[in-house]
Amino acid sequence: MIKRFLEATDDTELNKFVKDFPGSESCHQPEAKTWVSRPQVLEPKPQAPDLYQDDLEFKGPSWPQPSDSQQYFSASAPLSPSARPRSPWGKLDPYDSSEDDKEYVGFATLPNQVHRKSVKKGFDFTLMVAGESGLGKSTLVNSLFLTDLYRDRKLLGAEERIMQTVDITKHAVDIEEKGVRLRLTIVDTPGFGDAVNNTECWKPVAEYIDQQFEQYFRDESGLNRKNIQDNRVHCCLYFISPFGHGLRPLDVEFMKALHQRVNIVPILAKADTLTPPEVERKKRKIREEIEHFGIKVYQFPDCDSDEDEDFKLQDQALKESIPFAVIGSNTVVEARGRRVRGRLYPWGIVEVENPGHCDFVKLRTMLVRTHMQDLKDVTRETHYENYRAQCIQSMTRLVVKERNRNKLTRESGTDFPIPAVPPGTDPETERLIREKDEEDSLKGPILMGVPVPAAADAGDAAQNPKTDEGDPLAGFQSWIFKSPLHPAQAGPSQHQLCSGPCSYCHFALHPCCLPRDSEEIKFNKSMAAIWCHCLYFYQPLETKKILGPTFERVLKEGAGFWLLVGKTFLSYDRFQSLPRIQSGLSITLTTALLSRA
Amino acid sequence: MDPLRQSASPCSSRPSSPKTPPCEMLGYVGIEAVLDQLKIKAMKMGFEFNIMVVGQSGLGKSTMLNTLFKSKVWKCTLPGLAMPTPQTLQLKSVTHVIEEKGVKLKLTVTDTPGFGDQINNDKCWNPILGYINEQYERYLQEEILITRQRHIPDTRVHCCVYFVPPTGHCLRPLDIEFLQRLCRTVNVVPVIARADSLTLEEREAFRRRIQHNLRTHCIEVYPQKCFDEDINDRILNSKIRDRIPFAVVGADRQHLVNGRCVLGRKTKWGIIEVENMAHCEFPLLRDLLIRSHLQDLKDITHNVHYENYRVCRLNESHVLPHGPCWVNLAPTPPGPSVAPGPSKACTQAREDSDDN
Repeated sequence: MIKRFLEATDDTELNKFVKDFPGSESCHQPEAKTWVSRPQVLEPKPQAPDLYQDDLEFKGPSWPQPSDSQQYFSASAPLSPSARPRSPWGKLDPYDSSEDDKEYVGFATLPNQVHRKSVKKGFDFTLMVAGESGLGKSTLVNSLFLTDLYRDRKLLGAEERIMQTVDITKHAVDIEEKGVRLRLTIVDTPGFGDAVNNTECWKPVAEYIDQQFEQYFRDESGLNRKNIQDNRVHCCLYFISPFGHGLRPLDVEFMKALHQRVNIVPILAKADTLTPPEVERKKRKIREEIEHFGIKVYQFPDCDSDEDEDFKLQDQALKESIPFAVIGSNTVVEARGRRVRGRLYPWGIVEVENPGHCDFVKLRTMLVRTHMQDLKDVTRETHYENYRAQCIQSMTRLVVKERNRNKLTRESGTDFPIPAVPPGTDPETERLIREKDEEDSLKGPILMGVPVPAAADAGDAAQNPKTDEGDPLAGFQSWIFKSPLHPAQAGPSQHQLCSGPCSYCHFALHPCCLPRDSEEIKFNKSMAAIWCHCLYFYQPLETKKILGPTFERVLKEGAGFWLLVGKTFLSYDRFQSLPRIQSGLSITLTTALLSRA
Repeated sequence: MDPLRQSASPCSSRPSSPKTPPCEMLGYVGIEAVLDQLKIKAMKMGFEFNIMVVGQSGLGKSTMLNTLFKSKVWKCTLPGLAMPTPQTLQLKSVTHVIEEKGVKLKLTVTDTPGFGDQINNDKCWNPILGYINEQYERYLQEEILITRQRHIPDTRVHCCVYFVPPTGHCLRPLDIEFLQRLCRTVNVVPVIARADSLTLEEREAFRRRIQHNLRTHCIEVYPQKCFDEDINDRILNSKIRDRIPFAVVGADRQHLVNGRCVLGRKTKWGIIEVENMAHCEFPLLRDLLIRSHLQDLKDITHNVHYENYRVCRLNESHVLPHGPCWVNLAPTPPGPSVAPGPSKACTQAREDSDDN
């Protein structure tokens, strides 16, 4: 639906609008009578309500003017509550205007609503182009989006190329077409595969993609999630040279390194050097090799079985055109009486947009018109989730490692990685701990909140960390602790994020339940590591050692907070219940920069 | 080709200043009949030509050879899945004898599959250099034998055609490394391969850039400027130098165009005729390699490159182990052990080594 909308013009919509008001339809229900008796607005009035005015450019059908309809409303039967006003969807209105409103709830317009909202927001798309230089990448990008991204491009000389390493450059451009805005980012990889020794030249590329994932990971868990910039690479066009016999070792290595991180669409570049049988042969060879090496390129989703035959055939043809044999051109030539994008040779003219000449049209259709959203979805659902899972797993592995390590040094099983506690117990600390325990057991589980009354004290503690035994609490102030998440309304058992108690950190509480208010957060600044994220989110940045007693004091004041011990987050209660907390305790705290200041 | 140019003497590329003024001819002696004798002899003996093609796979090297010699010199192989890209560079040689108008040519073609195809192409030129030097060594060993053969089989590489991929930008670091090393050892003729992917303007721009790159890196490709003998040569060769590297297209299929049968590639938008100067510069390459400069290539290989090799080798001969028929050619005056009738070149080389 959305696709068709984009291609519709305003005129057809208007015509449909006009058609929707047939004056002669008589077989209506009583409710529908009111429909028909409305003034027929044949021309879109400029005084359409503002609600729809600024959304889309189309001079949409306007609401019946209040003044006009007054008399109608009073004259005819009272409008049924479910009688919808003239729908702004025009021909996309899933409901026939003559349908009985009582039969339908009306939510079939939801896709349209989503669509309008997203059109308002605009789309963004990040495309990466990779391949050896000289395969026509920039030309193709210019042809695809009919822009001139590389206008001021200077080609490197041979001397400079010798010193070149793989670079990652970004060009961003805003394109608008029929009211739909697209923010297109092209990530280019100049220098890839150009050197004599190209070992691991895909590493910068892989690192860039991982970096974008990581950034999104952090943003997603950050405080302000309204304006997350999605820089994740949605699609990577990999250019295969038409001069080789299928895939080169470098191609194979690159694709194997990246197929789990990004959607790879292989492209056979400069296809105008190949005759049609050669194209066929090469495509087949490349497809065989891709399968042979186990490379997972982007798979087109299967179309529904109830789609019409045409569409299925189209889909099948698309699937069999991988890799797309494309030709790009920056110049316009005259061919068959028309001006087209193409290349002028002494023996003929190659037209870029002629489906008989190359697969450029197919690629553009696929990339922009039909599969752009699917590419983004696959990136979001598969690649990004894989990355996230890997991140967590690697954190867990460390946890498990430390756990195992602990098992060697301690006789009693512990289930969290407290590093070796220096021998010697401080009876005072133990007493304190015991006291704490009693207190807390009386208090019950701590749900929300920061004990505000203790704010003053804690603040002092924060400001005067040096009061305690010349301890390394000095660094506390510099830690920034902010709640990354908004609390849930519900109690502890409802986990908004991981939908269930987390098995890593054994908490009862969850970050969702943490305080949201900024005041409270400021208060937390000087506190020790505050909350748990079930190892989901952040990478530890620094470690600081804190001596036991001081820590205890801090904890006392900051009761209700979470502790990050080693790599495990512990609730305060849990921490207290540990038998091993003794004085001289040296707990390695890991702090995490939880969100941007 | 100018018959006067076609001297059998190996010293023809050395500028020799005749000190004796030509004397007047009083009648017709018949000296020019010598040329006929030479021709007959040459035709009986046949010619040899060794050519090597270097470039990444898929650039049309085998097709180009077939087109050049209008015969299936090399079977165009499309390696299947079963045959992976060779890990190291392997050189393959094939020898054919082709005959045209009574002239026999023993053609040896050396291919270099796997060049520049790996991820790490460091030192991928070493096998090629090794092969070339090995041929020189073989010739040298034959030459310093006491009893030499009447006609030493010449397997030295006379010409190396280097295929530059048509990126349209400039020479790649790999190209530059290779050319720098090889232009000192062998005659290198760079060509722009698969030139049907470049429009005419792109071709010109690419060519200029390549020429600029070659100048910057002091790469002397054939025809080398320093070996031009006289003004005619210089004019002819500068015309050629202006067009190096040639933009070539290879084809081994014939198609019908305007009633004529031409070699070409048939695409959806036209037929690229290989022998049409408007389409590509293959005729220029063919003329250079076969019709006009074949003998020159051989001469320069023999007189310059081989001699350089020989000089180096002789200077090192005290370091390298002695071969089976090793003759001591250390700087002692030429004794009777040396075979009689060495060419002037040998003497001169020895003098050089003496000086060194």
